Amino acid sequence: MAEYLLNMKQIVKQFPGTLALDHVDFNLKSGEVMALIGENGAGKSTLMNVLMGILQPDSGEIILNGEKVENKSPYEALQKKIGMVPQELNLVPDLSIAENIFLGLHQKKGHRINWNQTVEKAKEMMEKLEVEIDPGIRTAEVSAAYQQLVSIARTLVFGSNIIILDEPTASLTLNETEHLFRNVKKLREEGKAIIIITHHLDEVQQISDRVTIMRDGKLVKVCDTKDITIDEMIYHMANQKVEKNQRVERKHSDEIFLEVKNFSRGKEFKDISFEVKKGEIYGVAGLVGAGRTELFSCIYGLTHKEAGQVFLEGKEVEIHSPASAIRLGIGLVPEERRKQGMFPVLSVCENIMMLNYEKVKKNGKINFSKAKETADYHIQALRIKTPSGQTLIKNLSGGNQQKVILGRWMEKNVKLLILDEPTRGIDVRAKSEIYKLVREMADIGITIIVISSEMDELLTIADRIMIMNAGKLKGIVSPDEDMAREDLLKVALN
Amino acid sequence: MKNKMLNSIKTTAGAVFIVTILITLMVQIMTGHFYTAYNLSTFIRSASFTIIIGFAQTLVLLLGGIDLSVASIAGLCSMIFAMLTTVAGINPFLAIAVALISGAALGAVNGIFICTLNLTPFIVTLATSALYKGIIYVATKGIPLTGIPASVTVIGQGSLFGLIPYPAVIMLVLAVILIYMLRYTSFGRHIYAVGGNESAARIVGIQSSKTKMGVYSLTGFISSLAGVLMVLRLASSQVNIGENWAMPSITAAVLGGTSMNGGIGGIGGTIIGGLLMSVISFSISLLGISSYWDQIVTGIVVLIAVSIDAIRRRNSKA
Repeated sequence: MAEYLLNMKQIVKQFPGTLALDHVDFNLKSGEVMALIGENGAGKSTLMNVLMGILQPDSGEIILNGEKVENKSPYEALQKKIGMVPQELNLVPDLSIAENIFLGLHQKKGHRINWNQTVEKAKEMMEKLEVEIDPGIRTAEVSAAYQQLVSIARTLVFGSNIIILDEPTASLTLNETEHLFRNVKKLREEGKAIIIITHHLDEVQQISDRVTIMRDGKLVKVCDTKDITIDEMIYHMANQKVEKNQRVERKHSDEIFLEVKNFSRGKEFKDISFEVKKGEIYGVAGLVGAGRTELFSCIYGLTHKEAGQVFLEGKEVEIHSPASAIRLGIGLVPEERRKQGMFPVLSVCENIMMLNYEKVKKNGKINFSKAKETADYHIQALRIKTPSGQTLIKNLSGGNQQKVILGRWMEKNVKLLILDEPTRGIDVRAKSEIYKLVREMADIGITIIVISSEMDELLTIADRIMIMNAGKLKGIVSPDEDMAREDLLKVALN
Repeated sequence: MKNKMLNSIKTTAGAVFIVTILITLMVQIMTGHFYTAYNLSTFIRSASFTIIIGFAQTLVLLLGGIDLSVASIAGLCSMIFAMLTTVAGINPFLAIAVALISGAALGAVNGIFICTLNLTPFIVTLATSALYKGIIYVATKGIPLTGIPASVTVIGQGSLFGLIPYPAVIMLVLAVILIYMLRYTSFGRHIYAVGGNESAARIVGIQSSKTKMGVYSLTGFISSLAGVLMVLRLASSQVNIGENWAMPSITAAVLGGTSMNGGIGGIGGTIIGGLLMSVISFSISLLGISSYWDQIVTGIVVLIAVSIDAIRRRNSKA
C-alpha cells in the first residue's frame, strides 16, 4: 500500500505566453481534507483540470494507488474514482434530482431504465447527506446548497475516492456551509480524500488537515493546517505581506441622499424603510434568501414594487426600469458578474463605454479614439491589469473584470452605486484593492450600498450595516473595531 | 500595416476570402472563363442577392436571434410590389416604397411576438415564414405576374457605367450604411450588447426590446429589398422568389465569422461569405458539372470552413 492515494509529480503545463504549471508536485492521502489555495491565476484550477483529464500535461506523471495513470477525459477520471464538483454546477436543471445523480450511470433492468430503483437509491444518497428532499422534483427548484449536494451525490454514486470541491461555499449561507462541512467530515471518516479549492482562509482552518499553497504556477508550500496561520498563508500566496483589511473610520456628510419608505414586494421583502447619507458606505447584511438582492433589484427598477416610496435628495422619484434609475444617477453592479455584469465577448473598452457612448459622440457618430482615451483613463485610474483596452473582458481575472464594471459607472458619474457581492470569487489582494476603490469613490461623494454575505467584508468597509432576514429589516448597526460577525448574526436571527 | 493584414487573414472571414480567391483562380486556370467581364458582371449581380439577404440575417444573428422568415418576407414583398404595379397600376416607385415598408412591418410582427411574449425567435419566424409564404400562394394562386415597367426593371437589370450591376451598387451602399450603423451609432453597439449578454444589457439601461424590435424590422426591410430587386431583375414576380434564401443567408453570415450565439461578427464578413457561396455555384456551372452538385459542394465547404475555424479558435485559446 503506497503512502499516498494520489501523487502528481513534476506536472508542467505550458499555455501560449505563460507557464501555467511549473513542475508542480501534489499529493493526497486517503481520509484527509486537503485545501488548495492561491490567488487567481496561481494554477489551482489548471492543476485540477489536469487531474480530471480536462487538460493534458506537457510533462510529469500522475500516480494513483501506486500506478501510473493518464486521464484523457473527465469521464476517464470519474471511472478511476476521481470526481469533481465544479463551482458552476454542471447539473441539468430541468431533470429531476434523482436523474441528475444517476446521469451517465442509469440504473437498468435489462435494457430498460429502472426508475423506481433510481429514485429509491437517490433518496438513500440524499438521506446520507442529511437532505430531506423528494428526489423526484426538478433540480432547478431546489436551493444552490442542495444542488451542490446533488452534485456531490453524483460523484459518490460513481464510487469516487477523491472528490474535488471548487469554491464550494461561494453561494452558501453559514448554516449551509456548516451542513456541507459536516458532510465533508463524514466522507473523510469513510476514507475518502477531499480537495477543497477556496478563497476563504478561515474555512481552510476550519475544515482541512493539510494545505497546499500555489503561486504563479508553482508549488510554494505544503504543510499541516495546524502549523500555519492565516497571515502566513496570505504571505505565501502573495509573496509579500498583504496588509490585513482594516476598518477605516470615515467621515461623510449628514445630508440624506436616499430614503426608502415602506417598500414591499410579495414574499420577497416586506415594509422596508431606511435612509442612506451622501457619501456613506452602507452595508446590507443577511443570509442568502434574506431578500437583499431582491430589494435592491426592485429599487433599481428591475422588478416592480408593490408598495412603498423612494426619495432621492428629499424628492420622491418613480423608478420603472434600469434606464430610469440610470437617468436619476443610480448604478448597479450585480451579483453574478458573468451572467449579468459584463459583456464577455466584448472588449474592456466597450464594456466601460457601453452606456457612455453618448458622451463621446460627435454629430451622432461615436468617436472611437475619444472612447479609447476615456477607457484608458479608467484602466489607469482603477489600476486595471489588462494587456490593452481592446482585450476581451472574459480574458481578465475576476478582480479586474469587477474593476472594469466599476469604471463603467464612474464614467457615468453615478451618484448612488449599488454593489451586490462585489468581491465574490475575487482573491485576497484584489479584494483589498476593490475596498480601496470603493472608499475612494465614497470620499468623492458617491453614495455606496454594499450587499454582502461576507460579514467580515461589511465590518471592514461599511459605515453602517443594515441587517435583513427572511425579507424583513432586522436592525441597523454602526460597526466598530470590536464588532464581530456573531454580533451581526445575532441581530439577523433575533 | 503589415501586421494588420496578417491579423485579418487570421480571422474567419480572412480565411474564407483566401479560399474564395483560390477557387476563382483555379477555375480561371481550368476554364479561362471566370475573370471575363461578362462572367464577373453576372457573378456579382447574382451574388448581391445572397449577400443582401445575408446582411438581414447577420443583424438578427448578432442580436443572438435568428430569422427563418427572411425568404418569405422577400417573396411576399416582391408580390406586393408586383401586384401594386401590374394589377393596381400604381406608380412603380411608389410601389417599391410600399413594398419596403411592408417588409419592415412584417419583420416587426416577428419582433412583437419575440419581445412581448418572450417567444423563441426560431419558432416565431418558422411560423411566420409559413404564414407569409402561404399568403403568396393564396393571393397569386401560383400564377406569375408580368408586365413590370421598364422604368424600374433597369434597377435590376442595368449596370452603373455599363460596368457594375445596380444590385451590386445597392448592396455596397447598404453595406456601408450598415457597417456605419453597427460601429458608430448607439443602436449598433446595443445590438452587440444585447447579443453578447442580454441581462447585462438590461442592467446598464439598454431597452433590449426596443433594440430587438428595431433589428427585426430592419431585417424585414432588407429582406423585402432583396425580394423587390429580384422582381426587377426578372421583370416578373414568381411565387418562388427567394424561396430558398433562408439557409444561404445563415451560411453567408456564419462563413463570414458571425457567431450563432450573438455578439460576434459583422457585415464585412457576410460579403465574403456570400461571395464564396456564389463562387461555388458559378464554378460548378463553368466547369460543366451538373448543378445538382451545387448543394453537395456547398455543404462540404461549409463544414470544412467551420471546422477549420473551430480548430483554429481552440488552438488560440489553449
